[in-house]
Amino acid sequence: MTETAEQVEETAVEEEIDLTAANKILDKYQDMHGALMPVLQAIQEEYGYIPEPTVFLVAERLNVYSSQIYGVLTFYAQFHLKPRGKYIIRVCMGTACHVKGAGRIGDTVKERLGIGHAETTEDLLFTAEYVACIGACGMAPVIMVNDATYGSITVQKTDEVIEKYKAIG
Amino acid sequence: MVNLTIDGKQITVSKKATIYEAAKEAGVHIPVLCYAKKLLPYGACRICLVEVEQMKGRLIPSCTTPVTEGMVVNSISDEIRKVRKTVLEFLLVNHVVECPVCDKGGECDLQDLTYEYEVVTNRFEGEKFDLPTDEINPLIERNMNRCVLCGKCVRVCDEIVGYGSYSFINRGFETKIATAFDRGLNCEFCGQCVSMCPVGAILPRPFKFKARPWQLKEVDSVCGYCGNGCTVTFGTKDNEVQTIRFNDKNGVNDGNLCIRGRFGISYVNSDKRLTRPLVRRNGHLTETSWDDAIQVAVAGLKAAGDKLGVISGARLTNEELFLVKQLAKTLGTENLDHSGGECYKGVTEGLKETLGIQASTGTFPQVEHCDAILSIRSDFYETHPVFGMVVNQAVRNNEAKLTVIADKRGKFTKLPNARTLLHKPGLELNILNAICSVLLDEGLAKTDGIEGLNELKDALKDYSADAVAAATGVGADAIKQAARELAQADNAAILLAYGLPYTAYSKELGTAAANLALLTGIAGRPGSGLYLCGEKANSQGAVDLSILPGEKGLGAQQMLAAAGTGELKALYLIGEDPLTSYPDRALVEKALEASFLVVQDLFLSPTAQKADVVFPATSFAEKDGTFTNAERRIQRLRVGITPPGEARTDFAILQQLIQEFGGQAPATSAEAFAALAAETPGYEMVSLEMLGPQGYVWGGDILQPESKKLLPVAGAVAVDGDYQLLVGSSLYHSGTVSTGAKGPMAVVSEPYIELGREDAAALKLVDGDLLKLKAAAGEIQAKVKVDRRLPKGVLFTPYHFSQLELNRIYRGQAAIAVEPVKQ
Amino acid sequence: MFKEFAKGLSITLKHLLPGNCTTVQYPQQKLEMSPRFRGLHRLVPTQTREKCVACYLCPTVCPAKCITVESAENEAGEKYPKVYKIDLLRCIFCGYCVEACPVEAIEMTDAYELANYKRDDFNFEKERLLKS
Repeated sequence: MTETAEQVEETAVEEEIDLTAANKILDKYQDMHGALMPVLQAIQEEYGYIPEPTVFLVAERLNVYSSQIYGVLTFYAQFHLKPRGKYIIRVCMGTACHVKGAGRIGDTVKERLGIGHAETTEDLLFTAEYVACIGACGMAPVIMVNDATYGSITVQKTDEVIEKYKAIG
Repeated sequence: MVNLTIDGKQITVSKKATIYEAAKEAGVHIPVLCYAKKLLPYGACRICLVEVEQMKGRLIPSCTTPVTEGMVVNSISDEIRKVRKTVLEFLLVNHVVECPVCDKGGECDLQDLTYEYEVVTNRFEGEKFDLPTDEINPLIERNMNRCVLCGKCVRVCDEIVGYGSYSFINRGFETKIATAFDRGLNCEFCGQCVSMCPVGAILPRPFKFKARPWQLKEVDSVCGYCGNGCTVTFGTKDNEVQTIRFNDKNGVNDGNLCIRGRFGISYVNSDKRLTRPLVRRNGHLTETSWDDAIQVAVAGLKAAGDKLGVISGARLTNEELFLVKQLAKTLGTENLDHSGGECYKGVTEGLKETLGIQASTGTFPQVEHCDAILSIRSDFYETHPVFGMVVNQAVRNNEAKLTVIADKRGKFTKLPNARTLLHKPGLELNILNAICSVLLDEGLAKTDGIEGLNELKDALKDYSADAVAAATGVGADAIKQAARELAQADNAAILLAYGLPYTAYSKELGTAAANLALLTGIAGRPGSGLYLCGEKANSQGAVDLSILPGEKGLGAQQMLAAAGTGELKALYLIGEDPLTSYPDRALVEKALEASFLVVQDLFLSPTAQKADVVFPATSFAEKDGTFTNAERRIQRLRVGITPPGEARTDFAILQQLIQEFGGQAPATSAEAFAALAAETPGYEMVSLEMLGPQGYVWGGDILQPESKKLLPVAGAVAVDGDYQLLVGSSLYHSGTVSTGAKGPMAVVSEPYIELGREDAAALKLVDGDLLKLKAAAGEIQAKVKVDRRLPKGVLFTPYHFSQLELNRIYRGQAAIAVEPVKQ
Repeated sequence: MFKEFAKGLSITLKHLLPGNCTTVQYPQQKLEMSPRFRGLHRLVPTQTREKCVACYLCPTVCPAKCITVESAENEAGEKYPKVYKIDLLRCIFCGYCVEACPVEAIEMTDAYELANYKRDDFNFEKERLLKS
């Protein structure tokens, strides 16, 4: 097979990622039929995202094509192929929030952190996500940071929330 | 069987058939995009919708719906027309309409349907796709803007090839076909996806913008590379083979081809081809006329008297091989041989002494229905990829149990549930013996009417599964399991490829495989088979026609040795390049130096450069005749193009030589076939007219063994040394000819030394580093390729490249002890 | 009877007067062709290349088989006609090529003076067709 830039890159990245944890997960599921989804979920749990070398590892050990795994990963919104921030800011863009100006909240996050939907800050602290509805329409507009919910939020309050988490680091 | 009515036509079909298949049988045309004969039903495109009386109220996809008794089907109605037209409109929302520059134009299913259903306007609007095209690799071009998401490429790569390069990624409107991480294609490059694509989304890049489909003249012939004998259909224009056309109607290969068959044809049009005869004058090869060259050759050969030898390649047609034999007879010599002279001994001696035959016992298609398959060496896929695809289908569709006796991992070992008996290099024989011993110990062996049972039992005492497991590094349980599966399977197959890089233990391996075939009852049982497959297109033909040394004659290796010592005065080499591909370079060099050498070839090979006379011959695309493939199928070659310059067919050259020496040669290749059929065992009843689109299998689907004799074979001893080099065939190449073809060269352009990750780490080597290998007989040097398939301490290098001079250290050993030195 | 005769003659006489002559004094004087006249072909250029994409429809439809096209890939990866040639001695000026062209890259001009001294000069290559 010809040597392509990708392959070189693949091996280069591989050295940085510690695959022991992924191997441990795979040990549990080896030879089990239809184990792909739980394995990927466990890997995401462990690493916070699905690192590329783990895809090839899973492909080799579960005897599934890497292309197929990539298909699964891109099909489900729950999987992430890039590292994600420590804090996930979910900006609700549902009908109620939209009416109450959720767009401006999203803009504020973008202004302060420089990240739009599905983007992560370089220091891996924040990831922004625009979501459809988080079921707290009574408190619109609303954002979530990891599991904490902040209702009836304004631009100022958004700033405060961001600053608060920045301070914790 | 099931009875149903389609468009008023009564028809009876198998109950496994779908409505589409039944309609096809009834001669009713139903349009399809995602259906392919050899793939599992999918139902992605919704073009094939039909009405079924019993299922009123909705339209039924005919390609996925099985037939039921009394079904009444309407294949066309106003409503169906409307729905199909709407489906096409949906497809054309995003599909870029660039038919004038799309190479599929003229044979595009979507184009044809759009025309048929008069989709002139579109009620729907949407954005046209604007995706980047994959133009990184030189063989397969992907333009996903033209994709209709039928999934045929995804399925063929999985179901037939077993590589799994493609998958659907993303979802909804953004769904597209991509590789892992949406990168450029980096695969086997067999081009099966190219042949399957109903639109212009996946196209052969070498054919890009070359011609329109309707301008091509189609000529059915047989691929000239390996012994698989795939039928190919040339698309010719301007006296060049522009491309290989998809054709699933002829031959054994169902339209499947590998990279060599599909993209390896370009050597035929190479400008490096020899166009005029050459004669050595004042130490230099100079161009001359045919008459002159023939005279010089005849004078030289005459001067040698009967002290000469003829070595032929195994890519000559049967007719030409017949003339080679005639010529040897006319010259009065029994020194006649082909392709290395050692590698085929498994067939000519191993099988001959045990089964009394000299060919595979079954045909390829029946392997698809096998329950257990044993592949000796993982390289079988590399030497015979399309047969390998049949094995893949057996594993996938029939859940066949595949066991691979391998010194390295490969495509076969990766197939679902494949059992790999990964052994130390060179110990295949021991494992075969162990399997035989398990069969005898556990009373699974079928021993009725078999001779030599007691002798074998005695000889196998040292080869109990446990003893062999300890010696080879393979698990004893795995050996036992493999033995049980083979014995219990209704249909089973044993596969072994032979060829120039596999000369070690060739006879012994053939014998051991035959022993196993006898004990399991595979030999001669309908549905089962022992397959000893030759490396080259007509290896089987050469064995059938007995292009072998006579009783007092010398074989290829002995001829070269004798020529080196001056015992033989002249050598006539036809389509062979011993300097590159034969073991033991020193022996070959000495022989070529010392003798009067006539070489007949397509290119000025390293061997031809040493010749006294060089005849320019023609490729398989320029001649007619027959090849016999590894399953004994005789198939016809047809002339696709005319030869370049003054090059002549081997047939014409041999004919003239025979006449010069006062012999009688058949005038045409048809006459030659009639003559050879009359005197070749198995061919007696065959005439050219009998060779239909599927060819003709001499001896029938199952060749019955003439004797059933077990012969004990001593096992091998492992090679010492920390590092051992294996020699073999690379998937992308076949013999040395493919190094003149652009397609294979685009993927593997130079020799390499492959090693596993552990060794690479230990030796601090990365891809592309230069590595020198020191062996007892000399040293070689090439770039490193790091892979996952080699066990620790095992290295691999392919034998196709002349610049590697591999035979400096390769002398026909099973494995070569080497010392790697990083450069 | 005389009346009709005089009327007819008057028309004839009228045409004898200067300015009423139907004969065109070719070659000093030339007719203006109708827009649908089928004369010498012209390949339509764009700013950077010829409009033709070498789809091979014109040589396919041509009943006189006078068009030779050879396609190739240019630096930009586009399909273009490496060779585009019309043998005017074979051409029957039917205009099918114009009709078949999917990108309107070929049209027919009003040029009808196509005499030449040598056979070779009737071979219109791409460059000449682009300029015509």
